Amino acid sequence: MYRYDEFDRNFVNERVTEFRGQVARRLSGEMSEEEFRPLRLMNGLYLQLHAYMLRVAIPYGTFSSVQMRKLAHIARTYDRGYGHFTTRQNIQFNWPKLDQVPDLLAELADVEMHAIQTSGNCIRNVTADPYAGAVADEVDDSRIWAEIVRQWSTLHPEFTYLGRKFKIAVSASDFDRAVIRFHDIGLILKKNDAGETGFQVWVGGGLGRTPMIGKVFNEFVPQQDLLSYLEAVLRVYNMYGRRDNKYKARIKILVHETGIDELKAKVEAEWREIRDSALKVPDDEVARIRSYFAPPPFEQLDAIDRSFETKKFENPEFARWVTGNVVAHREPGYRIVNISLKPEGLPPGDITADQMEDLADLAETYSFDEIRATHEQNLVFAHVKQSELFELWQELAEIGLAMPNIGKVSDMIACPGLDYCALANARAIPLAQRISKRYADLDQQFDLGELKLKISGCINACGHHHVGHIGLLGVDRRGEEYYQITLGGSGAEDAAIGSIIGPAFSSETVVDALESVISLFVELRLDKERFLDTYRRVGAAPFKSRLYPEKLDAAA
Amino acid sequence: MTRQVITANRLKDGLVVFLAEDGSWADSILDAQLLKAGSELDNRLVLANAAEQAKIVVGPYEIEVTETDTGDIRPVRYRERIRAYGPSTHADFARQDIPGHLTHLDDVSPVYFNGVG
Amino acid sequence: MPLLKDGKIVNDSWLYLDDSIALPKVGAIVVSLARWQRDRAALMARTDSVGVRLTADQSPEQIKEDLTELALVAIEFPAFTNGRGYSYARLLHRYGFTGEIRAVGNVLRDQYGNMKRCGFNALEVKSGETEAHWQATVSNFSAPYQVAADGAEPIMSLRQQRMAATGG
Ligand code: HEM
Ligand code: SF4
Repeated sequence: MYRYDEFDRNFVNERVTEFRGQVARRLSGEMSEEEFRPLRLMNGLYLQLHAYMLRVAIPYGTFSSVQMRKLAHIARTYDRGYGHFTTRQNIQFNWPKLDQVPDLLAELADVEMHAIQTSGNCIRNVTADPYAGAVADEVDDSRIWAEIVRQWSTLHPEFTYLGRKFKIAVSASDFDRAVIRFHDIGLILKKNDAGETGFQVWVGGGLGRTPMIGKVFNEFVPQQDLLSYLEAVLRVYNMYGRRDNKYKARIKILVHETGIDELKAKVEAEWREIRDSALKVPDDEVARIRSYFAPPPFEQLDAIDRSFETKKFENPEFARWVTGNVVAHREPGYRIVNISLKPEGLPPGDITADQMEDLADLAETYSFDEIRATHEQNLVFAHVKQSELFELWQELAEIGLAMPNIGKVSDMIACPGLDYCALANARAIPLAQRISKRYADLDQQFDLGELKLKISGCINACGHHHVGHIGLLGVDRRGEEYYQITLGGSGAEDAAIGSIIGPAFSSETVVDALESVISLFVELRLDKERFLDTYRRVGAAPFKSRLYPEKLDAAA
Repeated sequence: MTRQVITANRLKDGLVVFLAEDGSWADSILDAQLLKAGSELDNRLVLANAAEQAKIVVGPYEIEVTETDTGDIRPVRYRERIRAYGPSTHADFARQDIPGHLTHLDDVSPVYFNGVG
Repeated sequence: MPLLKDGKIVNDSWLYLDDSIALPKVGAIVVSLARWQRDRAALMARTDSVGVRLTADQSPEQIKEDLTELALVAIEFPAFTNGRGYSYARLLHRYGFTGEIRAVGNVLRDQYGNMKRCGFNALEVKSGETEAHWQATVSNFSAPYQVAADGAEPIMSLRQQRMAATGG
């Protein structure tokens, strides 16, 4: 894991001091809310429905037990005993007090954490593949490059007042576990024919009210040129992106309105000017950062562990959890363990301070002291010995975190919705709770297979509904909570934006409507087809006629 | 009949507050002053804006409320109900002393994190 | 408006000339881009200095070829949240412009540091702002992460130097 050197440490401490001054000026009235707002947002501090909300970055999703314990301490001391993991490798605290935030940040800085650029119209927390450094299918460890981007983007003097937020994600695999194609810039590490490492660069993806899949701007930017390429894209965006309408201010709109070829030409022209400058990442610096991500001291283990096989045979619940949540590791005898933060009937992504502390202990015992946060609001222990899976599972079960539902219908993404968010139209969490109860039967969930259900409380799409195999979007119909259903989206390598299937359903009827969609899928699926594949094969029509039979009558 | 009350977030801790009759900011909507739209409301908004200048609250605005049969003040919009009563999902942090919370369908219940309930 | 130049509050010796007013014979003046393009010959014939004022949607690319004729470029910030000007200043710097790069319009104290780093050397500020404010803001950070226009050594090269010095 990356560790701060004195430069990083000074920087983060200085940022805390700077923010402390800003808070003091706000509290003394020297600064108005209008002036303070962009400054606090740039440091992750919102004013939400009930209180301030602080979003803390977990850069590229990797953190340690010490950091997790600090988060637990913060949840208890400055908040109300819990936190909420988001879709961008951040954790949110819902009740901090403004006058205590500087102290909170100072405590975070003690464990090399911060809230820098977790909101605001700047380059946001850089995200990466949560399996980085553990899966066999990666070209390189994406976190090395995410850390390089993190440093370059941190308080970038030129890109702090962009037209809109700017999100960057890094992955290193053909499998997209980081929603690369829906980021303002998505980077995929590749090797070229000469065996050199570089990045395929996707530009202009995004969700929100105008969802768009990113476009490939460059097939191969050599690794040492990464920062100059990023700087070229950002400069072009900063100069030409729209500023007249905040809904048209993201780079996706600039790409769309300018045209890919023209915008690409602008970026390439700017890149030529700065490519051979001090923006080249020196090899020693890459090596220095790489050394922090060196593999932990894995033991030489056999690929097959007898006791593990026996335990699975003896204990079907354990076997189910293994099938559902555990994936292959590149080292023989190790596995990657997904920890679902979607227990039955509970708010997705929430975690209590006690659970945080327990997980910190477990990570220390079972996974080289390292934890990952995923964009699906879950956690990962990246390096667990196969022979210890059974003990880990038992301990997770004791703290209510052994739900074997990864990728299943109850592993939903849900934004905070109307329960916390000032912008919401409808509640998202209670709907997620209802669905999770409706599909409580795990046999049924396993039978349905991979089904990505995503819920947003408004069109800002924080809950990724556009890219859910099934998406639910909260809308306001004359003051009542209604939900629109979209089908066929995907945030993975087979990226697609879901289509709205028809008029919205009331909160009373939406879960039944969802059930109709799913039961039609069961009728139509061939063999072990996923929901998404069935939908792509049969199209929207059968789902429409199932959901809105009265329309058919009218047409007949 | 609908009435208005004035609400805001307190600057220092961000919590939801309501303008009370004596000009102070109460943390329960039940203590809010009921206002008639028009000059009565406008006059109080002047006071509320002054409270923003005085660094007490942030972003004061008026919301529509009704009086229930039991005489309680209840916001019309769901958003304002959740704001006044606390999240419908986390019972520990909601105003259990005020009736009229948004209900849950099926047998979903709010979560208690602190072992209450 | 008070002017902070190179960290000092100074008297502004420049006159912003409205497009409708005739060119004065003497004195340093700042004109709009449209005026510059229209009266270029007359403006270049003056002995006293000329500057151009760019709005937020006028990129300095449009005066790239003229920079040797200009002693000042003023960049407008219509709102402090509109950050285009930061990139404009960096472009000017890259074009080799050595005159004054001035931020005009909506500038917040908390932005001085970024502005300085992007190559601004003068800012129109709110009255009440002091040299001490400037000093405090621009020295918030002992070393930045990026190379920019102010020549400050970024952390990456400081690390390199340290590695070279310790031989490791
Ligand atoms: C509760 C406070 C929150 C507020 C006020 C908020 C606000 C917003 C807004 C306004 C947008 C649209 C931006 C645009 O299109 O330019 C957005 C997008 C987004 N938010 Fe949030 N959000 C909040 C919480 C969350 C949470 C909890 C998550 C994760 C679960 C999240 C993840 C995202 C993501 C992934 C997007 C889509 C990014 C894109 O458009 O590419 N946000 N948010
Ligand atoms: S999608 Fe809408 S309701 Fe949900 S968190 Fe984002 S802004 Fe709030």
